[in-house]
Amino acid sequence: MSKEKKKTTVTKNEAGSAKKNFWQAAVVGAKLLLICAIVAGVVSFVYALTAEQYAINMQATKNEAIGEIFGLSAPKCEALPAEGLEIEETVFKVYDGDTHVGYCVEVKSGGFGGDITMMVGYTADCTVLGVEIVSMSETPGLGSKAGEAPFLSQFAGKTDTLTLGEDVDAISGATISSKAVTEGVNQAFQSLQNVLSLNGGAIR
Amino acid sequence: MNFGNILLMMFSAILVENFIFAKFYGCCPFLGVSEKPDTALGMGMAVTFVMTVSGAVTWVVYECLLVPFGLEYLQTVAFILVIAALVQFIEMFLRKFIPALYNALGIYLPLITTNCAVLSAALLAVQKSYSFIEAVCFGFSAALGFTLAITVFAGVRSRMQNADPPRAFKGFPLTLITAGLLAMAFSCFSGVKL
Amino acid sequence: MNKYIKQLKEGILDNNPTLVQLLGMCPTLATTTSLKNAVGMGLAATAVLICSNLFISLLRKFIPKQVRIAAYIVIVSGFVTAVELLMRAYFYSLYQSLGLFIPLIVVNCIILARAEAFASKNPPLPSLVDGVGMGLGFTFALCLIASVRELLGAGTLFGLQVLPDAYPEMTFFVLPAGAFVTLGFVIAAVQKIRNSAADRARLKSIEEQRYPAAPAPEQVGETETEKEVDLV
Repeated sequence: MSKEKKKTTVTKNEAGSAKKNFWQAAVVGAKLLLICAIVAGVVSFVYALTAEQYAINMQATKNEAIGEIFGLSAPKCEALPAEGLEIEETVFKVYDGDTHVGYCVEVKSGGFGGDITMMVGYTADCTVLGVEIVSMSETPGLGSKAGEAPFLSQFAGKTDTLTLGEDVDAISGATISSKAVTEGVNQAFQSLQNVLSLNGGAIR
Repeated sequence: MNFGNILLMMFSAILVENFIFAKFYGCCPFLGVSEKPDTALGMGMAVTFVMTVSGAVTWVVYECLLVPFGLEYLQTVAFILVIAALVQFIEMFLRKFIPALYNALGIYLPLITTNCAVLSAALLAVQKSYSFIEAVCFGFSAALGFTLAITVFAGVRSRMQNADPPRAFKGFPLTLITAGLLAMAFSCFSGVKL
Repeated sequence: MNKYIKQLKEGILDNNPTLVQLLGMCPTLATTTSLKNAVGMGLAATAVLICSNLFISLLRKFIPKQVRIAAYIVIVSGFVTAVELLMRAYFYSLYQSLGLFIPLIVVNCIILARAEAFASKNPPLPSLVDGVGMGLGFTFALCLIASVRELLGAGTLFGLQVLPDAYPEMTFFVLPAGAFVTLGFVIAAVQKIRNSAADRARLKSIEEQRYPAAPAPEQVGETETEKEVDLV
C-alpha cells in the first residue's frame, strides 16, 4: 500500500498535470477495486461457511410444517415431477413410513409485508388437511394472525376453490393477509390438480 | 403479467403499499427534506429519476451478472455499488448536458445513495422475481408514491411553521406525530380490494 | 479506561444516535413492532457498526479521499451481507421476521455517519468503542420504542402476555401510524428531559455570572433563546 502511495507522489512531482491526474485516478480506482475484491472474497467465504446450515434450516422448517399438518414426527416426502407445467409450486407426496398419507403443496402468496410461504396438506383424496405457514413477515399482532390456528383451521376439510368472506372468514383489520393465505390455498389446490393429472393420479 | 396487472401493481405501489406510510422505506429524507413543498418536490423528482433507472440497471446486473455465476448472495453489495455509481454518473451527466435539471435536483442527488427506498425497491423487485418491465414500473411507481408522500407532508408542515406547540414537542416530535396522522389517512388504502 | 466508559455513555445516553441525533429512522419505525425484532435489529446493526468502525478506522489512511463514501458503503455492505448470511444460518426465525430490513442496514444513516464523523478520523480502539456505544444506544432506543408499542398494541412483551386478558389490544400502536406517533412522543419526552437539564445548567451559569451572591430570579431561564437540536 505504501509503495503505491510513494509512486504517486513521485509521478506527481515529475510529470505534467494530465499524466498526474491519470495516475491519481488509476490509483484511486485500483484501491477501490481492491476493497471491493476483498469484501467480495470475505462475503463468499462466509457464504460457503453458512450455505449448508441455511439449507438445513429451510428443510427443517418445511418438514416441521408438514409434520405438524399430518401429525407425524418424521414425515417422508417425495416431490412429484411437474415437467411441462408452468407452476411455481412444489407438490410432495407424503408418506408415514411406507404408507401414503396424502399430498402437500408448498406455495407462495404475496401478503402485506412480503411473500407468505406456506404448506397446504391434503389427504389422499384431495381434501385440505391443514395449512401451516413456513415464513411470513406480516405485521405482528395483526396480519400475523393469519398465520395462527383460529384462522388456518378454517381451511381443514375444504375441497374446492375458496372465497374469502364466504368459505373463510377474514381477520378484521388484516384483509390483505387473510386474502393472501386464501389465495395461496386456492393456488395450491389448482397446482395439486394439475400435477396429479399429469402423473395420472386421482382427480376429483 | 399483462398490462392490466402492471397497472394494478403500480397503483398498489403508489397508494396501498406506499413506501413511506406502509413500509417505512425512505423515512430519513422524508422527515429531513420536507420543510418546504418545493424542495420536497425536487427531492421526490430526483428520487423518481434515480429509482426508475436503478430499477432497470439492478435488474440487468442481477439477471445477467449475479445469477449466471451463482452469486445471488452478493446482491446487496452489488446493488449498493450500482446505485452509488449511478447516482454519481447521473450527477455528472446532468451537470454537463442538462444544467437546468441539475440546478433543480443537484443538491439532492448525493443524498439519494443512502435513501433506503432505492435499495429496497431493487431488492424487492428481485424478491418478487419481477420481469424487466415490471421492475422498471415498480421502481417508478414506488418512487411516485414516495414523491406523493413527501410533497403532501411538506404541504402540511409548511402550514405548521407558525404553530406554537409545547416546548418539548417543538421540531422533530411534532413532525413525527403529523406523519403519523398522514399514515392513518393512507392506511385507508389498505382496505382497497385489488 | 475512564475515557472509554465516558465514550460508551455518550453513545448510549447523551448522544444517542436515534433519540438525540435522530438518525436511522427507517429501521426505528419499521422493526419496533415487537421487542424481539427490536433486539434482533439492534444487535445486528451493532455488529455491523462495530466491524465497520474498526475496519474503516484501520483503513483510514488507505482509503482515497475522493471515493471514501463509496469505499465505506462497500465495506459496510460486505459486513451486512456477512451478518445476513450468519443470521439465516443460526437465527433463522429472526432472519425471517426482520426480512428486508437486514440488507437495508447498509443504508442506515447511523453507520455511515459514524464512519464519516468518527472512524475516519480516529485510531482503531476508540472507533471500536464508539461502535459499541452507538450500537448499544441504537439497540436501547429500539427496545424502548418497541416495548411501548408491543405493550400497548398487543399487551405482550417478547411475545409473553404481560397485561391482563381483559386489556383491549390497541392495534393502532403496531400499525405504521402508531410507529410515527409513538416515536414522536418518545422523542418529545427525551427533549423535555434535555430541555430541563439545559435550563438548569444555563440558570446556574447565569446565576454565577450576574449574581455571585444573590439568588437568581426565576424568569431568567425562559428569556433565553431556545436552541433546538435538529440534526436530520
